Amino acid sequence: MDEVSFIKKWLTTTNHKDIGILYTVTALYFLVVGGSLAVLFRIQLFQPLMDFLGPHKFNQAITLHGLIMVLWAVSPLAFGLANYFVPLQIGARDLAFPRLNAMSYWLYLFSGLLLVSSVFLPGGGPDVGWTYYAPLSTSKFSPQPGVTVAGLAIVMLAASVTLGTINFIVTIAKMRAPGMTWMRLPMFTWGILFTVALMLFAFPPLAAAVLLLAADRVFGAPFFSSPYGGAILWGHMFWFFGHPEVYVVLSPAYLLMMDIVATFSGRELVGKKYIIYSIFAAVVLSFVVYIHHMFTTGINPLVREVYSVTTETISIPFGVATLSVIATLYKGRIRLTTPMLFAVGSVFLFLIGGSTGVYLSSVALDHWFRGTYWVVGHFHYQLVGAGLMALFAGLYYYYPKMTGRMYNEKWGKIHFIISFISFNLLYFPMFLLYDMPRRIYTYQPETGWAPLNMVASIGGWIFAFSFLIMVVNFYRSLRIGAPAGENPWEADSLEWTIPSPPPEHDFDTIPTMSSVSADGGVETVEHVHFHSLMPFLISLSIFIAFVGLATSIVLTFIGLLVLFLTIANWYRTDILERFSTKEIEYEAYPFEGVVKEKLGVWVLVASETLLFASIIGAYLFLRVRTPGWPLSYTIHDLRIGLINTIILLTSSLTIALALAYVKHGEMGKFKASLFATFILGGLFIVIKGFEWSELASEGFIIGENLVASTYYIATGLHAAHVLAGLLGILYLIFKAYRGKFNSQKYVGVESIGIYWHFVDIVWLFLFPLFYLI
Amino acid sequence: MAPGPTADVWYSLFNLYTTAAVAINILIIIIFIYFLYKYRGYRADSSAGGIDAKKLAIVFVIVSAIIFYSLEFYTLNAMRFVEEVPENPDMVIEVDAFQWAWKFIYPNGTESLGTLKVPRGTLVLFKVTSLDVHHKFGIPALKASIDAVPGRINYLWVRFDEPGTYTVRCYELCGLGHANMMAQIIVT
Repeated sequence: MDEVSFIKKWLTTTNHKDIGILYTVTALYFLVVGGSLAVLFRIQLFQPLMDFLGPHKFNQAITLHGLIMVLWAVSPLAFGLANYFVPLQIGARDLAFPRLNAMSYWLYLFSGLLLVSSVFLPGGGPDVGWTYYAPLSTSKFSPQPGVTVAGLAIVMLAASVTLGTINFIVTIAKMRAPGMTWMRLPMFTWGILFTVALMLFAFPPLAAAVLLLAADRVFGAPFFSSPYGGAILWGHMFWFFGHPEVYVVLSPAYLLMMDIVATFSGRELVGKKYIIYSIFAAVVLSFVVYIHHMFTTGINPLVREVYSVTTETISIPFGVATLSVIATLYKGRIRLTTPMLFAVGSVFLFLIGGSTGVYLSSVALDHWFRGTYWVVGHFHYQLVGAGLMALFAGLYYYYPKMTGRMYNEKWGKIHFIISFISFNLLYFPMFLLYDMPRRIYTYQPETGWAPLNMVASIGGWIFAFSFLIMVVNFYRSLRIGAPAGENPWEADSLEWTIPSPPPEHDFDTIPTMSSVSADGGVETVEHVHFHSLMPFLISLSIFIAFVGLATSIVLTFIGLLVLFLTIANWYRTDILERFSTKEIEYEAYPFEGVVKEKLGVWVLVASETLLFASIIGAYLFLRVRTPGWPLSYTIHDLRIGLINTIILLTSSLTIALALAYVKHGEMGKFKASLFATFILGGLFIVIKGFEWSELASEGFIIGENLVASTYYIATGLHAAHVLAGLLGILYLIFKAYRGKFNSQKYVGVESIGIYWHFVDIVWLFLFPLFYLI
Repeated sequence: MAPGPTADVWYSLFNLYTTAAVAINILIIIIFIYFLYKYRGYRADSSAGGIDAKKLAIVFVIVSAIIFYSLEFYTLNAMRFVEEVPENPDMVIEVDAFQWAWKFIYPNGTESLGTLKVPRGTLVLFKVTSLDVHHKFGIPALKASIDAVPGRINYLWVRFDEPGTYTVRCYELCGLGHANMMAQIIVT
C-alpha cells in the first residue's frame, strides 16, 4: 500500500478499523452536540419562569437533542466499536463489502450535518419533538423548512443504516473463521447481529413514514393531515420503528457489557446460550409491543390488554440476562477496573430503568404516566444509563486495543464515580416529577416542581462535564499511556490475540477455533485494503442536493450532477474490477450455498419489502377509514395497468433467460435478453409517465386528495425502484460487453436478477390494490 | 380525603408496583454488591462450577412470570374500572382542545374557555377531541387523562369528591404554547 496523505487516507479509507475510528469520533462529536443542547435546556428548566431560551428555541433544542442522541450518537457509537471489532471477533479481515461500509459512514456523517444545519434555515430547525407527531409536524402547523430538512436527514440516515445492516448481516453470516460457530461468537457480535436484524425491519417503516410526511409537507398530500385517522397512522408507523429502536440502541451495549463482566470476572459467561435465546425472544417481542406507546390514543381495549401483557412479558428475557450476569460474578475473580465499574454500573441503572418501564407497561398506570417526566426518566435510565454507560465501558475496555496504550486508570475511576452519581442526580428526580408534562419550556412556582428540577439540572451539568474527563484522559494517554500489549485484560476472544493496535491486515493467519479461543491458524490469500473517494463524494452530493431543496434549486442540480458522475465512476471501477475483495469462506452455516453478493441482495430485498409493506399498509389504513373512497377502476384505465403488468412479467422472464444463457455460455443470447429486459423496463416507465401526465391533465394531482396522493406515492416509489433496477441492468449490459461474465462468473446477473424480480412482484401487489379494487 | 376514585385506584396500583419494584431491586442490588465485594480478586477455581444455568433460568422465568402476571392481573382490573364509560353520568362535558387552550361545552350548550364549574360528587363524562393537533387532556390531582386526537372523540370519566380548584394541563407537545396550555376546574 502506497503512503497516502493524512487527509486522503481518511477521506478514502475502506479499512474497517479506520471506519470504526471515524464512526466513534463522529458519534462522540454528535454526543457533545446533543449533550450541549441538554445543558442549555436544563438551564431553562433550572427555575420556574426562567427567561433563557423561550419556547421556540427550547422546542428546537429538545427535538434536536432527541433526534441526535437516539439516531446519531448512541447507536453509531456502538457501530464504531462494531466496525472495529466485529471482523476481529469473528476472525475476518474486513467487512463483507468494505466500500459499502465507507458509504454507510459518509451517509451517516452528512445526514447528521444536514440535521444540524437545519437550525440555520429561516424559521429554525425542527421544533415538533423527536417523535414528529402528526399533524403538528405537517406544514399547516409547522411550515418552516427545517422540519422537512430534518426529515430528509432521517431518510438519508435510513439509507446509511440499511447499507450497514446488509454489510453486518452478510459479514457475520459468511465470514467467520474456521470453527467460529454461532454459539462461539462473542456477545458483542451477537448484540450487533440482533441490532442489525432489528434495524432491517424497523428503519424501512420509519423511512416510509418520513417520506409520506415529506410528501404531505411538500406536495400537500394529506396523509397525516387527513381527519380520518391521519394522526393515529403516524403513531402506528412511528412506533413500529420507535419501540424496536430502543433495543437497537440497547442490545449492542447490553451484550458488550456481558463480555466485559465475563472478562473481569475471569470466567466464561454463565448460560450464554440462554442469554442469546432470551435476547432473541425480546427482539421478536419488541415488534409486537409497540402499541403500548399508543395506550392513551383511544384504540380498542382488547388490543391494549393484549399489548399490556406482551409488554410485561418482555421484562422476563431481560431478567434472565441480568441474572446470568450475577451468576457470572459468583465465585469469579473480580477485578474492578474502569470498564468493569462502568459495566456493573450500567446493570444497576438498567435495573432501575427496567423496573420503571414495568410501570409503563401497565395500561392503568400508563394512562397517567404517558407524556410526563416519569417517561423521560425511564428511557434515559435505559438509553443513557444502560446504553451509553455500557458503551463508555466498551470505550475504556477497547482503548488499549485501538491505541496500543493504557488510559489513566485513576482518572477512569474518577470519571465513573462522578458520572454515576451525577447521572442519578439528573434522572432520578424525574420519577418524582410524575405530574410534570414533558417538553414544557417553563412552569409556575406554585407547581412545586422547582427543587427537583434544580437537582436534575445541576446533576445534568456535572454529568456533561464528567464526559470531558474521559476525553482528556484518552487524549493524553495517546502519548503518555503505558504500552498495552496484546491482551492487557486477559480476555479470550480473537481481537486480543493480535498486537495493539492491530496491524493493517489484522490477522497474519486466519485463526482456527475448536473452542471459544483460537488454537491455530491457516494461511490465506493476502488481503488488500482499497481506497475510494466515491463513498465520500456520493454522500456529499446527496447532502448538497438536499440542502438545495431547502435553499436554492441550483445546488440541487449541482448535487445531482456530481451524484450521477460519481455513480458512473463507481460502475466503471466495478466493471474494470479495480475494486474487489477476495475472502475465502470458512464457517457459513446455514448460508454455505449463497455467495455473499446474493445474500446481500436478499437482505436488501427484505428491507425493501418492509418499505413497500409500510406504504401499502398506510394506504389500506387510510382507505378503510376514509368515507366515499372511489373504486380504483373508476379512476384508472384498467387496460394500461394490465399492459404494464404484462410488460413487467415478461421482463422477469427475460432476465431469468439471461441468467440461464450466461450459465450455458451462450453470450449472444445472454446479451440479447439483457437488452430485452432493459427495453421492457424502459417501456414500463414511459407508459407510466404517459399515464401520469394523462391523469394530471384531468386534475388528478398528488396534493388533490388522499386517493391521488396514495396512488402517486405508491406507484412513484415503485417507478423509482424500476429506475434503480434499470441502472443495474445497464451496468450488466456494459459489463457483458466488456466480457466480464462467463459460464462460471455470473453473480452480478443473479444478484441484480433477484432485485428485478422483487420489483416486479411489488407491482403484482400494487396493480390489484390501485387498479382493480 | 382522596380527590376522587380515579386517583384512589391509580395510587393503590402505583403503590403495589412500587412495593414490588423496590423489594426486588434491593434484593438484586444487595446480592450484586455482595458478590462484587466477596469475590474481589478471589483466586479459586474459576470455571463455571456450581451453577446449573438451565435450572437457574427456568426457575427465574417461572418466578418472574408469576410476579409480572399477578401485577398484570391488578392492572387489568384497574383498567376495566377506569375505562368503563359510565352509562348514566351526571354530566356530559365536551372538551375541545386547540392550540393552546381548552374549551368546555356544558350539556345545555353554553361554552366556557379555560374554566369549568362542577358540583362536588358529580360523575362527569368528558368527551375529548382536538380541533387541530394532538393534545393530551390531563388532571394531575385525579390521575385522569386521555388523548385529544383530531378527528376522533375519546371518553374520560371522573368524579370530584373534594371541593377546590383543579388544574388541567396538556401532556402532549403541541407547539409553542404547550407549557401554558392550562385550564381550571372549580369544584364547589
